[in-house]
Amino acid sequence: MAHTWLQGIRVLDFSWAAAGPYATLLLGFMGAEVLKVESRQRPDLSRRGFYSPAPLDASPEFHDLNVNKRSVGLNLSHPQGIELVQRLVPHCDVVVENFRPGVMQRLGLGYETLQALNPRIIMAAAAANGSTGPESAYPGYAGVFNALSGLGHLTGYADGPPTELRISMDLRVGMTLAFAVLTALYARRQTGVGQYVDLSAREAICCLIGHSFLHYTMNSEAPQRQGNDNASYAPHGCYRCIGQDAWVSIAAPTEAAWQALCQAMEHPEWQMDRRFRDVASRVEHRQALDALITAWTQQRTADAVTERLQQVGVAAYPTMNSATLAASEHLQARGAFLSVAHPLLGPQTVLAPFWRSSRSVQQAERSSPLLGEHTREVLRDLLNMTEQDMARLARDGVIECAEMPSASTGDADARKDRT
Amino acid sequence: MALAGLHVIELAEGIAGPYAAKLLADLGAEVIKIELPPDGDVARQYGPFPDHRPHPEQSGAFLYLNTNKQSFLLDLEAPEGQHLLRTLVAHADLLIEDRPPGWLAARQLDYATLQQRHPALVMVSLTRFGQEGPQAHFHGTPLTTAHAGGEAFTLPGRLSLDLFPEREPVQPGGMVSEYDSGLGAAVAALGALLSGHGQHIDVSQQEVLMNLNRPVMTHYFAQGDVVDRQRGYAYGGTIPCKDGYVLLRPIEDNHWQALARAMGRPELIEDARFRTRQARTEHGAVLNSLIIEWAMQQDKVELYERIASTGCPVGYFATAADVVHSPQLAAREFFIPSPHLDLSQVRLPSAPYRLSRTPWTLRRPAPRLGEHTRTILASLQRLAQ
Repeated sequence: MAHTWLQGIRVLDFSWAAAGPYATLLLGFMGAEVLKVESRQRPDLSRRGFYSPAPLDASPEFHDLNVNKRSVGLNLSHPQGIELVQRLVPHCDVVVENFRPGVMQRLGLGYETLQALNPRIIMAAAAANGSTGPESAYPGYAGVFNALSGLGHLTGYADGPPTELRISMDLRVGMTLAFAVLTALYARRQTGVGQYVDLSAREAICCLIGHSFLHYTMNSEAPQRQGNDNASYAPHGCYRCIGQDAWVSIAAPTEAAWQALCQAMEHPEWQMDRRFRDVASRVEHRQALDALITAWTQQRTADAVTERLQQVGVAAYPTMNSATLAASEHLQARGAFLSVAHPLLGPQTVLAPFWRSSRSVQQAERSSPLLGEHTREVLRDLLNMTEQDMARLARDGVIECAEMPSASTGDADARKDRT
Repeated sequence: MALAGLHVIELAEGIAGPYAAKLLADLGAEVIKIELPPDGDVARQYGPFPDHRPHPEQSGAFLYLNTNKQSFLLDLEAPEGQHLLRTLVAHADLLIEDRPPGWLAARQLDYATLQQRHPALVMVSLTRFGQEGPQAHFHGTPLTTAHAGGEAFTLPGRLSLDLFPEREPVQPGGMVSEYDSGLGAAVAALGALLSGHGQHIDVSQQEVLMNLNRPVMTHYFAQGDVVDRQRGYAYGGTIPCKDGYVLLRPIEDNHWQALARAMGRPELIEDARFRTRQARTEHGAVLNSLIIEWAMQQDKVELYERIASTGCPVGYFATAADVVHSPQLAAREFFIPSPHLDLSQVRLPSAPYRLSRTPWTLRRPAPRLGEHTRTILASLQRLAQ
């Protein structure tokens, strides 16, 4: 764990794929102990890889989203597996899940049950539409709530179709879920008891574009997508540079910035051009303006454009991709990238959490877990289970241990219940 | 209320910093928003405005981003104002600020100064490129920050690229990257507060945004492959219909079977071109043309309701009007009336999390400029005694 902010907080994590795991990744970076409940029958999607297939115990994508967590292999379709969860709950502070609404209740792990076992438990459930409402049973993925929230409609070219945002949608929801859990932890200090947190992924995204709805609730108007344009000022856009698929973003909100831009691009005559004489005119003639700017940028690299314009106080930055971000001296200097060794993959570059603290109390990250790597130590340490008990449970397919593979039992229905 | 007793000072404007403080205010924190004379927060000029008439007390962006806060109009160019802010901060738990690096130090308001008087203070500095590093001083706007974060390079995606092959990448819409940044700052703030230790937290908007695409970064580190706008779904995806677009994800066989039945084409289930995921991937173009032919006869909401109930993942690309009229969001009372005196009919988004014991509440509308200056000064005077 990177920080010790949540030292002593234990999270029982049933979540999978990206949204819930990003939330518990953040909690883990803050020092919480995260127990990830897994099984080989329905492994976390990221263990299979999002962009390229991977073995269950050697997925870089799983590793990045699950550093610091421990893996407890439990079969939730076995009554004894459920009983083990119920026995773990009194030792935990938070339960996180992103199954479809109703699944945890059907498993015997609904909030009423957990609260009776541990009044201090905070249960946080994330679902595409939340747990109530006429559409709450509908399945959801990132693409679905990107569309339903309105963000997809607002993204793209003005004369083009709407846009699918993908994995980032899940992590936005995960960040929102982490915030809600932290809020409940803060509240518990006052109240002494936990509570149930019902999160709708669709609504989470709506909140992140919240003021766009005011166009409608105020004036019955629905905003349309506008590419990189800004209705209030120009230049404001993305311009081609030297290189393959290389671009730079530039925005000059003030007269001073506009004048500095003209000087830096060595076209002082643009300041005299009637088409560009004030901000309203520049907006009106932005196509012509953008063509002129492109003629200058396309002879330079994005870095050179950025440096030149920043020198004179104009906002410019390359359109970054994963390669240029990884190579960024600025991000490297800030400690934005960590190396966390994985037992099978070796050292892997993993993103650091997005905050830095002046308090230097920090610990090294732990690797992401092998599936079932910590089952025995958790059951032994928290439930005082003996080796014989655990051997029997493994034989019966109730638990899975990384070094004690269990009989292959599984329930296809339980798999269908995943969001 | 969840965050009752948490005292927050906000020195920020626009979207990102104010959103971080709003998230806390809406859950019960006491948030004093410092606004600088003469005009306060620049978001008072963002709009939208009723009937398009600009008015600093009627800007939709400001009204949404500043619910539940108090406004303290304070001149921080004057030593007296700086002194008052130091006193205010000395009695607060958290300071959220978005000033350019160096601005606070020039006014004796930097962390080094503040923490001497108040070691338990948590201060969260949210800037586009962070407090330190070779680019910490860079000028930025929401556009350039969105492009700096990495997501713009992957947008809009293959459907648009096929139509417009030479065009530029685009920022995510709705100013979402600014909101993302504010949410990140709020997450870090609560974590630091729970630690019980005063500290200075440095949040870079660029890093919050880069983190939203962690798997894209991991794919590059592991495979050396850069995710770009060429990505698209092999089948399904964005499907045009009569009045707009739907998003279809018939990934698994059971999803596809449900969709085929909803289309009134059960015989397609046994069609060798579509029977397995692999087959559907290979024949994606043909499959999509069949789907589009059917979808073009129906409206998006109609399509959504017909398909979603069968268990096949589907969404419709919603405009603001669609979202405000959504029966699902109405059932959850997601949009609520504003308690604003003149604009009570204007509804605002509420929150996506329902906390069973300490719910989200809208106790007061966004403040008028300097509305609480007098009461705050009075309480500062009492503190000085």
